[in-house]
Amino acid sequence: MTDPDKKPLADLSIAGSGITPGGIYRKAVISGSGKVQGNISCATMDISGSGKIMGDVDTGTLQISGSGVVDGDVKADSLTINGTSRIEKDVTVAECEVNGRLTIKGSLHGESARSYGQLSIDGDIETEELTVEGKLSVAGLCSADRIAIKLGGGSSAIHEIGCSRLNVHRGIVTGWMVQLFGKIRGAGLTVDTIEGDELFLEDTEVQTVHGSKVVIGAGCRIDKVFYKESYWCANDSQVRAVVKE
Amino acid sequence: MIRTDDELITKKQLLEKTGISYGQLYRWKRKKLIPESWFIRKATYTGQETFFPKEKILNRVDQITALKDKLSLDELADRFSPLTMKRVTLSADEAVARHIVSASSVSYFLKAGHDGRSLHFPQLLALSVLDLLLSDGRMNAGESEELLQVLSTHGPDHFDRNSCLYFIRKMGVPAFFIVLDDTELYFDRKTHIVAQLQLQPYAEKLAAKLNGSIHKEDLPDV
Repeated sequence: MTDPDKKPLADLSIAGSGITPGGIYRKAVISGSGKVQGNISCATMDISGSGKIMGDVDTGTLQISGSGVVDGDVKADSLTINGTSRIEKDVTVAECEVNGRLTIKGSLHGESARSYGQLSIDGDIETEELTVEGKLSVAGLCSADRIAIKLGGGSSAIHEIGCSRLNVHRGIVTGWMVQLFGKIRGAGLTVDTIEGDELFLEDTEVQTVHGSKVVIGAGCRIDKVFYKESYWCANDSQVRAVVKE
Repeated sequence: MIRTDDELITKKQLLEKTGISYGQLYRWKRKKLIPESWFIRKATYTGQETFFPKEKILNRVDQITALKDKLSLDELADRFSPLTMKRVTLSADEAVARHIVSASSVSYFLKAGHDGRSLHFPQLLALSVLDLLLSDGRMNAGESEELLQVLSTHGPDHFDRNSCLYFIRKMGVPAFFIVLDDTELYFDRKTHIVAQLQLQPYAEKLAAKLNGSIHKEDLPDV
């Protein structure tokens, strides 16, 4: 960092439209349209409108309202996305909240993540708590202590899930769509492997489920369930094979 | 990385044998109590399965279950992870007195013009690898400087990434390099691989030594 005896860090502010080099700042604010050319390290970063960071971001809080693109890694205590954003590399945050859409080309590591809208991750997601309402796509491992997913906004897909507790709930479709088409099936979830202690699934298609207490709710299609303690399955779900271990 | 001839155990067997749950296993992985490199993916007739090096994982699970009520998961992670040892410094004399590195490799280190007052983790690791290669005669003292240089410059950030140190010779000329991740390398006929060392086990062993904790895991022969 900088020499503490020198003058305090400056703020970075782009209002309107501008391009600035990266560097170390106290507060960084982009209102309008701004581009940061290089890595940026700051106490807080706030983007309203459209922002592009052509490098890594290391900050306390990063808030993007509107649209944002980060070409590098993001390291932050808290990350809030309102709108649409894309991060090209890995994200390490304590807390992450998405209202809208976030695409991460790397992996997400953190304490808690909440997504209302669409969260798409090309690598792994590893957090203690994960709450999703909407669409979730994870190409790698989705690992968390507690995972709660309320499906909606299109089909979700996860390669692998590893957790203590997993709840996948059917999204409820309301409004004129229902009036027009009658009862329609909500968005589903497709997973290759689920491994966890307490599992509750709805509208989920899985190849293999390993769990201790497994409850298969409505609308599931599962190839194999391996369970230790208890197992229950709703009438309208299909499970090809059930094995007690 | 794991040697291919290590005895392996499946995830299911591990859970049965130790009585831990999937939730615990994944939590410990997230907290880096179990290194990523111990999760070995292999295709089997039932699909893809995860295996672990049997002795290492059973040992590690024993240690975690014994200590988890006394220490927090983060404290446990500190105990196992060489990455958190970055802040450790020892003087050269101390390191020799505590049998962490040998006096002879320290003397090469000092002769090469390094400062012996405060050795950081990467330097200690470099010295212990140097000890190993010098003691079995595969390397000579003149080559130590290159080894120390590559390890202290590029080693420290990559212990957790399956990094592997290569020591090759071609027509008697030595070269050292570090390869990240688990990759196959092919050389021409005249290049000899003198040593190929996975850094992570050494880093862990060294971390344990510095912590003063008892670590039963033996290092693989190279």
